[in-house]
Amino acid sequence: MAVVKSKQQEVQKFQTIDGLHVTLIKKPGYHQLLGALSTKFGSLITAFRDGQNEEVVIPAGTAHFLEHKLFDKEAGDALLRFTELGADANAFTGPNQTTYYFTATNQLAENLTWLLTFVQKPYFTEAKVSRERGIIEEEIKLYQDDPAWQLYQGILGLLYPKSPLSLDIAGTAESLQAISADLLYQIHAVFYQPENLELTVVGDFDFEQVHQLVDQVQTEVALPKSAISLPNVTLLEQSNFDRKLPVKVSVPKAAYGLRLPTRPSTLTATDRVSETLLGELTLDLIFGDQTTWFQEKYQEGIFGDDFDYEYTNLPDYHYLTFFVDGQHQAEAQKAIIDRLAEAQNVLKVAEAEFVRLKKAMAGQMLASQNSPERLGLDEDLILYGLSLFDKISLTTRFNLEDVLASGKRLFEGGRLSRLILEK
Amino acid sequence: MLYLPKTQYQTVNITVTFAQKAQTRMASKRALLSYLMAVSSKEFPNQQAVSQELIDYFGANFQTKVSTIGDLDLLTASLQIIQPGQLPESNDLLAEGLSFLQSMIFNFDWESANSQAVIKQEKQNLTQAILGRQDDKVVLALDEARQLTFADSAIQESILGTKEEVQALSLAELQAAHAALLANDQVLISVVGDVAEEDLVTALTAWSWPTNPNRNEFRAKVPQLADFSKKVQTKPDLQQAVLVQNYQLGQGAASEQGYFTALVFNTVFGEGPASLLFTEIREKNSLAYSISSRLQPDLALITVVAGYDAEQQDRLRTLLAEQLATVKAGHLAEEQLVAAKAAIINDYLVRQDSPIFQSLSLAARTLRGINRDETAFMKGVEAVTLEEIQDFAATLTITTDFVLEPGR
Repeated sequence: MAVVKSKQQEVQKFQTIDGLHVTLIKKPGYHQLLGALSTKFGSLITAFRDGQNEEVVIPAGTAHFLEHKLFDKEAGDALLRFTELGADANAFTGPNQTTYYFTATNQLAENLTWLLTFVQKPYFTEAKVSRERGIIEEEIKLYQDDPAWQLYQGILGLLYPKSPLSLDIAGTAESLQAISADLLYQIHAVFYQPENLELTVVGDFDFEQVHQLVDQVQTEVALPKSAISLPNVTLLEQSNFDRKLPVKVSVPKAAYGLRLPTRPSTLTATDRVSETLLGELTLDLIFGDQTTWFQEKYQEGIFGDDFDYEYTNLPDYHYLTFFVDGQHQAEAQKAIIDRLAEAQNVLKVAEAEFVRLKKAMAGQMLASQNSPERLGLDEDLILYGLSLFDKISLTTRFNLEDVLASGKRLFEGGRLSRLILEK
Repeated sequence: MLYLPKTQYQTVNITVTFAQKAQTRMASKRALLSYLMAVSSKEFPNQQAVSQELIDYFGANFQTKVSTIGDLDLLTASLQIIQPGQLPESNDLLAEGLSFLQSMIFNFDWESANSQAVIKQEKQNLTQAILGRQDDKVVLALDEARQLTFADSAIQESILGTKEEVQALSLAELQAAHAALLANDQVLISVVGDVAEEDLVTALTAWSWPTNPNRNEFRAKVPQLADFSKKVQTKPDLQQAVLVQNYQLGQGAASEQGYFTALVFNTVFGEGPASLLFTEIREKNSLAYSISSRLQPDLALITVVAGYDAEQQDRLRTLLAEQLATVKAGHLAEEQLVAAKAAIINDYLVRQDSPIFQSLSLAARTLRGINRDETAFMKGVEAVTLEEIQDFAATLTITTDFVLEPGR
């Protein structure tokens, strides 16, 4: 068990006997109590090996479908039980995780018990599975009407054709047909075992009481341990680098992407989070709105205030994305390509700018601590066990050599892809 | 100045709110002013200079935006800085931040050679934002429904105005609008955090507001509604239709207890996972993934928004009417009321943890003349009875029915 103290706040991490990873974060003076239980099972896992070493295929959209169905209990909707306990609850599914959480202002023990119970004790029937398909088909249509979603999903499809990443997290009307109650039970047993779960509790509460409560509830609801065996992911080479989608948008919208060499699967959690933080900092140094380069392009009208960029570093996927709205897409594309080409040289003389941005990063992380959601639903905490406080500690050790190494990972070349939505 | 001392946050949040009665063709001017205020002043002439300054304030956050409360148009400029002294060399951050805010609010350099270029660029950004509202089907449907709902053309306007008006605005018109904003608008400065009040007073006293003995003071009023109207509009390439229905609240909702009744009704009817719209229409009938209602007390409206398969419209309307009839008939279990009240109180308390919400709501509550504390809020919610909810439901009148559906 480790206890870390920062100003006003305290963090405790421990693991229950059955293997559940727990992080408790104290926020003195806050009304809000947040509990989040996450599994490292998201839309990117498309198969696993069962106890007989047989490969079980997971249809697209299953992680998200399972998220919906875990709320549907024999006695009714799990959300209603939270409501009775004065809490607001929700869930979301991502590429690597599914997270269930509540926010409350009292009855922490009851809400926490219910969170641990409803997620770890499933109830699936064919009738319930069948009814859910209709709801999710409507959800899929909702996303399909959103240009931002089309853009994001479209560029991932260009960078990683036919990969799990290129598929909608919610699946398709067709893939949903292959999901059955039996399959959900089978998947739940493997991916919702305590060793694969991360619980976070944030608020003004007594650590010891919550520790004891979690230990006790787990003895009643935890699933038995079993091995998780995943087949290797094989990714296709990228073959298409430019695509136009005829969508009736008011202003052309484009996403640009650069597929980077995959990072070693042997990276430690700390290394991967460090690389991600450094990658974000490096991108800010090159493309941030404080740069003269951006100011010039902004004044020329090539980029507007919507210009955005992202760096993603996942076990099988490693890429950059840029988002640009506006009429000058050819100029925007050229500007990004030219900037990528000169990036390494820019970084070499960026010491002063790096010091400023590092200071800003420290301030922004400090400000993030205002939000229990930012603390409790942090993806790096869920996937890698590193809290916001751990990340602050990591960033203080960054130096320009780290940034130059990051630049080598990000700007080693490759062909920029473009997906454009146009009338 | 409205100061709320709070020690639990890592930040200090400062919001300057300008309030003015909505006037026809003003939305575009104020929206463009808010864009200019965000990126340029004499001391920080462009986006780059502003961004660098914020980086030097430990990554401070500065935002401007336009919004409405009742019949008032608001323009807000907000700055979030870390709590001074929390990080090394941050002791002077409050004075520096307030000086920056002063520069951005007061000192747009109308005379400089740079100003035309900045205005042109921000016109382009605002135009794209206006056009972007048309690409979001729910925002588009709400904007269209707004035009149908209100009698006054000034209130009908979309908050960002129109691209034609934005493009036509001259430097002289903008300069005059800026001068009027500083001289005539009601100004509320709200601060949330842990700072010495005298430091705030000293810094803010240095801000030189134009002398105007007749400066406006407002109380937001509920705008007059138009007669009932119904409209169907098509948009190509849509997968789903959107329905927006506005219901006018009865007179009783204007009272303090009427507000709490409206709040509980809305939670039971359409807000959250325990509501009738969610449980009966989404969960039991798999009819709409998104369906909810929202109480807008400043407009005396409850707005229902649903995204659904266009072929299921009749069924959706039938089910919607049935849920309203259920409440009118009082067919609600005691547990539903208890749960709704608990959800409202929980939501209220959770919002008190957000310094950004606190900072914005200090000004909003002043403009609406609301002066209730935490205890009064909880008592008010708890006091609502089933009979009051039934009576409230009976006074609702539909005033707008707008459908955006797939089509050519």
